[in-house]
Amino acid sequence: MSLEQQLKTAAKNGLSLSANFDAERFHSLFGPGAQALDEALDGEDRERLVRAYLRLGQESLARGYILSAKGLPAHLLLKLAPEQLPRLDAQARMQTLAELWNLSEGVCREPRWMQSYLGARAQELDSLGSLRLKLIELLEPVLAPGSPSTFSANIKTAQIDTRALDDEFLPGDMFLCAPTVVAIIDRARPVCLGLILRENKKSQLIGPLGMLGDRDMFEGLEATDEVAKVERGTSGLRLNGQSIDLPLLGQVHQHTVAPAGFIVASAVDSQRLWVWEAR
Amino acid sequence: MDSNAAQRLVETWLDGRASVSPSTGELTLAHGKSPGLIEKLRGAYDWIRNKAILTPYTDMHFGPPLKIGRGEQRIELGAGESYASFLLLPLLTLMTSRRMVFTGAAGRGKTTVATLMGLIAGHDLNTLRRSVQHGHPQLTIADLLGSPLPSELVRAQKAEDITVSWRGWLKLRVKVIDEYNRIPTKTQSALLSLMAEGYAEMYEQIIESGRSAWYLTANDDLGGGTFPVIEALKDRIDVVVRCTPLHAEHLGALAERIESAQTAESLIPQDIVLTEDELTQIDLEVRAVPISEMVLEPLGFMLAQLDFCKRASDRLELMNKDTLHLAGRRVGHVCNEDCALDKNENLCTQTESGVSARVYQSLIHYAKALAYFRGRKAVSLEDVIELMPWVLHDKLSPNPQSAFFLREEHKKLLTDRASWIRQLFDRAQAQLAAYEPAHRPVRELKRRLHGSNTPAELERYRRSIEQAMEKLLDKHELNGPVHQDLILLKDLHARCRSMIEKSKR
Repeated sequence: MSLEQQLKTAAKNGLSLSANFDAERFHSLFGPGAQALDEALDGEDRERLVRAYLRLGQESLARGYILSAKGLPAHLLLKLAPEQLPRLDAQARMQTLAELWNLSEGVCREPRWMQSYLGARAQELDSLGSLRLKLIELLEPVLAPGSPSTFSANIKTAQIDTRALDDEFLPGDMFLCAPTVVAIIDRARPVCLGLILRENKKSQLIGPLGMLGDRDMFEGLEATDEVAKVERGTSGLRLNGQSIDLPLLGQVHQHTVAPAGFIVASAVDSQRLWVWEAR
Repeated sequence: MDSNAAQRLVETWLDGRASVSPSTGELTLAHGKSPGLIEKLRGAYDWIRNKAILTPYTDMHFGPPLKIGRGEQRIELGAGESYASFLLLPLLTLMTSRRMVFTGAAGRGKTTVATLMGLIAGHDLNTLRRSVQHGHPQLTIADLLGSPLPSELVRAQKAEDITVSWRGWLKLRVKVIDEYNRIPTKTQSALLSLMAEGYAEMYEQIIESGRSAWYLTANDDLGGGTFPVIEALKDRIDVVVRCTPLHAEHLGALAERIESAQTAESLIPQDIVLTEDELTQIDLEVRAVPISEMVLEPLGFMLAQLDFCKRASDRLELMNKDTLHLAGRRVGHVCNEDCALDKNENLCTQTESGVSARVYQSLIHYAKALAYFRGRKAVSLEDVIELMPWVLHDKLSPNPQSAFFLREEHKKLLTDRASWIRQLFDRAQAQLAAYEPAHRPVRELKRRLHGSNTPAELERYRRSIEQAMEKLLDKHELNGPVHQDLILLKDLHARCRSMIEKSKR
């Protein structure tokens, strides 16, 4: 069967599979990859692999995993698969394609902040050979709870400008959605950005995260008052009764406290975030 | 999470549903998790709107409206979700197993949408096409329901010996009656018992139709087909929707369908098809959606006023439009300058009749379905407002002689029933807010009914009711809202007196 016929059949089957399937989008997203595989391979393996690739394309669109060329699943299936599968041994190709799908679907079932974080760093996954290790390396800092801090000594203070990701972002409500990941919601628009808190390193702004759902789902992640009692004063924040030094902060709008030793705050009149790190 | 959390997570991902078959070397994808019921329903709506019926006409809006233009050129944009009533209401009908009519000119997609509902309910296209009942002047009861074989009739000694060969469509979850206003009156009566009671009877044999969603179509908006539709049948129809014309934007899609020789019905995707169990589950979940007093009160405030007619009788209980109609009179006969009520303020003047309890039930049931579809935890007033024009469409008729409709700016409402009904609700809302100070003591008295126990308390309570009634009559003219409160207070008074009597025994 020619590639054109395979694409046509796959699009037709996709339409009968799912209401979300969009044939035009399917052709534009998965057509080039299928063509690359078709050109790079030969024999029976070619048709089988292209068929499998298109089947995964159908499912990706049906489930809404890939709607554009952005995000980790798109990077794995639209870029890495067509570029690097032909370089593998014939026996390993199909297995690797299945693994790429499983990783993609796995990521899509995780919270939005994680999808967004991995999407932002997807370009660092540039080889099928090191894919698994590299993924673990990317996930470790955001999944590790970090060693609990006593908040006794300030080691670092930083300001993060949210305009780097969104010109109009105005930090509003904020809360921890993972031990070292802060979700910050815009005051006026339904937009949410994330902040990855990194020990002794510059915190990383990610997003937009999409709306994360009820805040209640994430309760219990913040530091308790016994560990760090943070209060808002007329100007700045007080930690266990003592003022903490956050230059230019002014009147605090919102704050949150991560047990790993981070206090994140926003000001009433600023698009910046202040990160105070302690041990 | 410990330091191995990342590794464990990646391993979990890798243990996914894609694998390679050792025997064939082909990639296999195990069945994934099905989408939830609400996602399925929303997927069905989106698919119909974007891929099957192609309509840009969205007339149900949620959120504060954004107004553009002025006067007659004003357009309202929804700030939140927007839906096409023509597509959403059939889906809500499927969810609630109720009855609806599509009206509109031929070729607007009425039967297609009804057929799509059948497909979403899991019927196959051929069965559905065969089961559509086409209304025509010669349609007999036997054509509609079935009949015994002639040989059976000859052999039978008594009626119960006759086996009726019932038509297959009677058992389908989705029932489609095309052009129901072309069905002869006698056959309409047979249809009525099937729709209203859920069973049909012939030669002492009974067939039950089970829980079904009914879709009827009528080419004429006013129901005036070959035969007049009997009132009882009309009354059993919960919702009326108007089909929308084709927008020129979608001509390309039609051309594509001709090229591919495909119809919208032949393309229904598997992931929006509901099983019988899923439909039952949806029904249960819809019924469980709560509706609060905050929503019911404005609804009751408006609908109760429509029944009121001050000039129908001097007796409080008989001041309603039924009294007039039973005497062979119409609202237009008495709603004139002899009635002191302001025709631009009071809603009673605008309608020929009120609505039955059945209509309240339909509205509440559909509102629950809409809230469920929108993923809301409870019914909101918005849900009711958006549904009201379609539920009341054929249930309320205007009183064209009313002074209200003689005003130039209101004349158009006589031709646009949906806008008229929405206007009724808007006015009722404003009235409710203005009437609140007078209604508050009545609400308080209602709450106190079961709080009074001793004879002395009950006596005090009785006097409070009488005082409240006197105050209402002194300070307000007897209009719809005051009438409602007086009826309620009179009932409270009667119940209180009965409690006093009991306490004396």
